[in-house]
Amino acid sequence: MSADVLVVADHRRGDLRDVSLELLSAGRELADEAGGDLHATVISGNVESLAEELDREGVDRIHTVAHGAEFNHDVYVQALTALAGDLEPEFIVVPNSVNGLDYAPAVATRLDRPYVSDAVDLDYSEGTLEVTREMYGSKVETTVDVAEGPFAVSVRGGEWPPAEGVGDAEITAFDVDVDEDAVRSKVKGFEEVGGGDVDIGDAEFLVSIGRGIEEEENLELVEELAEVTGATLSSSRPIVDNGWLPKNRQVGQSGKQVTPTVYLAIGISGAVQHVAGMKASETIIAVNTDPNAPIFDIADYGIVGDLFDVVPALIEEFGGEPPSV
Amino acid sequence: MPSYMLAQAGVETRPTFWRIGHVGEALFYYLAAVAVAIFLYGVYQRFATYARGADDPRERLTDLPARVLTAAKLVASNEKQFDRDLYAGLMHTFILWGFLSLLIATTILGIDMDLWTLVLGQPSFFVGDFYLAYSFVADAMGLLFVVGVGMAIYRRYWVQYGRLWGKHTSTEDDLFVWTLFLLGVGGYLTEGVRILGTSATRDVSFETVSFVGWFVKDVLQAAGVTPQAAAAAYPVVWWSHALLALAFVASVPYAKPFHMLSSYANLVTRDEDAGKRLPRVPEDASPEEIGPSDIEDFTWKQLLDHDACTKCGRCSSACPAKAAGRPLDPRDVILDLKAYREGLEAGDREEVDIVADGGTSVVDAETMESCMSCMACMDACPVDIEHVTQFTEMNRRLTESGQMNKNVEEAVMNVFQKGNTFGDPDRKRPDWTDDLDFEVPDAREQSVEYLWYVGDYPSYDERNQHVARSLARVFEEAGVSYGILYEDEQNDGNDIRRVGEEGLYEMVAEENIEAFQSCDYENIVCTDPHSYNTFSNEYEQFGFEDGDSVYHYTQVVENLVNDGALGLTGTELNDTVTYHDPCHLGRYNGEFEAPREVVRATGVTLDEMPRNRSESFCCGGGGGGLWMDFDEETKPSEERIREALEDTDAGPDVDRFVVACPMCMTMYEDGRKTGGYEDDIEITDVTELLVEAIDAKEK
Amino acid sequence: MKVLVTVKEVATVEDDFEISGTEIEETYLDYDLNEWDDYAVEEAVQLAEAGDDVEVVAVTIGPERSEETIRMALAKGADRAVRVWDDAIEDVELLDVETKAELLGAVVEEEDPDIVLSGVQANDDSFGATGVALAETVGFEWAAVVNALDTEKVLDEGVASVRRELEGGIEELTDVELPAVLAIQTGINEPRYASLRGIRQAQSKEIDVQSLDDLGVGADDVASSLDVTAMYEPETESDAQYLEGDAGEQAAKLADVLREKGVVGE
Repeated sequence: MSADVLVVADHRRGDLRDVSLELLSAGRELADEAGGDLHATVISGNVESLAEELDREGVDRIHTVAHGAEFNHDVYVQALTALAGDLEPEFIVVPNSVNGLDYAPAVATRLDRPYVSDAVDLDYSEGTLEVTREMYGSKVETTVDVAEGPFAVSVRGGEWPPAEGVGDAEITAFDVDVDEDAVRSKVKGFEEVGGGDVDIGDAEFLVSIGRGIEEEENLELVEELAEVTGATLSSSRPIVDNGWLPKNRQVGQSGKQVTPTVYLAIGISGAVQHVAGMKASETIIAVNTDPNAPIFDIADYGIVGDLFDVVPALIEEFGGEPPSV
Repeated sequence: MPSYMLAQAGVETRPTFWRIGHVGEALFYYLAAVAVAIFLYGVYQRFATYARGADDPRERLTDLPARVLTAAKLVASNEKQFDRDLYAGLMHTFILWGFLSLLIATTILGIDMDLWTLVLGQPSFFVGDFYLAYSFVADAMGLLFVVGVGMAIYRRYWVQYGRLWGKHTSTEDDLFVWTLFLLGVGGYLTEGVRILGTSATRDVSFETVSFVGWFVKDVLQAAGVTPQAAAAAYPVVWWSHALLALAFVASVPYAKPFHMLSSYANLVTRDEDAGKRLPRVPEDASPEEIGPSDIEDFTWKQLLDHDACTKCGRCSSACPAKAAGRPLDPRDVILDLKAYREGLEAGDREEVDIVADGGTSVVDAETMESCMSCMACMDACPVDIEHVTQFTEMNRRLTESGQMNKNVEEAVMNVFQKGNTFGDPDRKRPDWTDDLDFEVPDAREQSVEYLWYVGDYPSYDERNQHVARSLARVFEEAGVSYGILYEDEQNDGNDIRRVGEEGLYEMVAEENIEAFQSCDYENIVCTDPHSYNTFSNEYEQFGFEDGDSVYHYTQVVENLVNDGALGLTGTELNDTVTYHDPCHLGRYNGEFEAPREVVRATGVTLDEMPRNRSESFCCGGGGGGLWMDFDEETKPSEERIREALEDTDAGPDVDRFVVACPMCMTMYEDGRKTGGYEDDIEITDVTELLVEAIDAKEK
Repeated sequence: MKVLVTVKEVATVEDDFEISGTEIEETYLDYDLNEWDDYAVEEAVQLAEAGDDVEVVAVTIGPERSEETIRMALAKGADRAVRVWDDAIEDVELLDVETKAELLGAVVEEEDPDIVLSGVQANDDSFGATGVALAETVGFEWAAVVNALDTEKVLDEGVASVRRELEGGIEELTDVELPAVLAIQTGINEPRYASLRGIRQAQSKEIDVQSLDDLGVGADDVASSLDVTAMYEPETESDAQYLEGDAGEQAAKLADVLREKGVVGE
């Protein structure tokens, strides 16, 4: 086994996903701690251009596996097994993305590596990998020691800075003889769900509502606020799951990524999946009754208070009449 | 024409079957026999249907003579028809007594003719003074009948009185009322024609006792009808009247007139505890067997309920869910079930679910979820239909088929997992006591006179915690020996049962009883009327023996006030207040005065809302309403506060809206905000008022 | 057809809690059926309802206490259940993905299902890996984060036609050959309510307890490669500027911020 690190890029429909660059940073740190090289791989799609994008400072080698246009977990598993057999990296680092969830556990199992997912921090010393990760829906953080390598770990997006600069990695094609019989799933296509009237991605000012609104009828309150301030209404996942707002209003990992000038989060606790979709907003303002709500960690302005008191007062500030809910 | 009758001229009587002839008479008897046969067959069919219904969990036929008598008294007095509606009471009394009188009169005549004179060969007693008195009474009562029917017609067609018209209003309603009218009027016409006709051959001056018939005769005469013409027309008039009467008799079991029997039978078999003490489900029943899936799953009494309905609409006009625009109309539910059964029997309806989500069932899930279990419908029903029992059983079906309302499901799961609807840990249950400057005694550790069951809302809900602390202060102040169960208390289950989660109700009831039994106490006192109801009426079904020693706190506090234990002079406060009767305390359990006594003892002026005591209007929180969202045009709580501020004597000068139930407190605090009444009125619990009075006294 | 659905009893933590050592104190924990598994159970039961002769078997790894939770699955319509437990498992602080896959894999070998439904993740340890690792262990095909499944195609064509919920409001439409493991995402259906009577009646349904011996798994195989070394409440790194005062004052300050940022009219 080498002390190398292999990171696996995430891409979709021709675009490298942001988390891929963050993986490079995480991988570089590990490589430095272990004294090894940083390898990256990009599988399927337009691998050459993706590899170039992946070529940032600190990357030693990039392996391209050209096979098919889009992600297929059977292809990924075969490619990564072959690549790992070839490189024998001490660490395989993948994103804890939806696709990561779809291949990483299988790769780890096939390679007989212990697998720890969703790391927010990694620390390697003296043969032990310490993974920091959350449990119980982000209520606690734990450190977990994985005693024996080689390791496979997935990391959470947004926890490492994206790798920067232009690198001088050696980009090589890695030939994988894909056993087509073992590819027993077929991606037939993609569908954008909940398009429609509004593109919250374009909005300059988003008023976003979460579980704190309690009941569907109370939505009137934030609708009025959006009306008097000229904001666009968006929401966290539970509101859409409940069918109170259409899918195209959902901000977060499985919804839209938004970057408005102002993101006003009302009654949103700030689960990581939500934060993933709005943390890049210019100014984040949070209103929540719970002073410990994680949303305050990323907020620029915070109001600890009941939305049913604050929002009507805010509506009045802008000359509106708060509806009775 | 039988000459012997005219030969009797000079004796006061009337010729029966005058100008009808022997053939006609025989035909009449034949048709009468046919009509009675059709009647009897129909009645048999109806009752055979009930006999096929499922067993009813209640004993409804024990002590039958007393039941028959009580029901007869109810019918005779028409007290249920007079309830909330003088006009309808008079109308029904006139029709009922008029109809019965005419029925009796005809029966007497029948006895004289067919039994006394024909079979026994005795001289007729239908002569002389008897005849005169008979005729007078029959005419007078008949007039009452016609007036009653006229009132019905006026209200139904002229006024277009709202509650009389509904989804199931149909031709049978028109036929019923018009047939009665024609029978009444036709009787007088027949009489008038007969008097005029017979006046040709004899002196009819004695017939003035039949004053209405005489009047008709006068009118006919004035209109130029000669006695000869009247005599000639008589058979036609008579036959019309006779045929209509016979047709009516035959039709009784097939349409609305059947209520004369079914509604009476329903009163005979009624359960006075219905609604406040719901039936258990068999211990070994599987989920599929709980609640009605098919029409056969309804008990015979419930099928009778459906047939007893006269479509009067009193239930629906009293229903707060309907008033708030929720999709529930209690009359329609009962009649939908009836129509479904009749449709199945006639083969023109497909079998569907009795109750389900999705709109294809007889009753929609949303309709059942709308019910607040406030019992207003049952209180208003003149024929004692047990809506709430049936509604609860349909809720049970929804629960067991996994179709419980999502919001209710959350509350119910909280009770299952945490023992309270809030989903808070049980160790936090006694947290409300922290702010008191005395220790609330632990009934698990010391023997107490009053075991105080605090309840979910007073334990966990901030607003109601203040009520709990107030009551604790009252008990302390009065030196009452009391104690609470601390974390061993669980949700009382009353509303869990009413939303149809019987299995969970069984669980909490058993565990609460166990907690009670581990304590040494004399009485149980409840903050919440819902607890009070289920402990005193229902826990008995699970082996609880102290149901009679359960009190609502207002009852205990009333005694403290009367005994002077709180040292109030009755001058401490001078606000003007109104009092809202909680359904579970008032209508359910008949306690109207204790809370009012306590309220008055503080010195406030108590101004009643028009809908008070048994006519109280639900806050909207019962039957799980507290846990659900509804699209309501005016929330029941908002409407009720409006009533307090507009329909009381003091009107806008009413300072406080006094409640005696934590659920009411929550609903009205909400209604006060959403209805925009925050500056107009305060919501205060009886015990909070009392504490204010104590504080005022101490100053 | 046989559907195996993996379920887990998870601990949920109250809002206020205390940690002792590397665990949350028991007082602050409640136990419940894992949210994702609830959807998986519902999907399995819907398959059974749509098809003839579909057996649904629930399988869990858990102590005796977890039978309460398993009964929820049985009450909702699973026909029977298998519970894997052993003293050797009890000794492990945090079961790793590999061990779970191996134990469940042994049950899959025994039951030989056509389709296995699991939740995407459990809300206690949130590994989000058991389903896919299990598929690899037993040589099944799989799909993760499935938020739609064409029931008819499963029954009629032996193909799992699924939608995978990707990031950013995109869904991937994929056909997966059976036998397969599908990791089910929340929102795929509306899980039904299991009544207390139903749960009580489910007492009569079989829960087959399988030890390591029964499954032919060695005690060494369950030794976890993971060691929890610390547990703590995440530090709040907030550098938010808090707007203080009553609701009116807070609103006024907030309005000023919004005007300053130029997103609202003056």
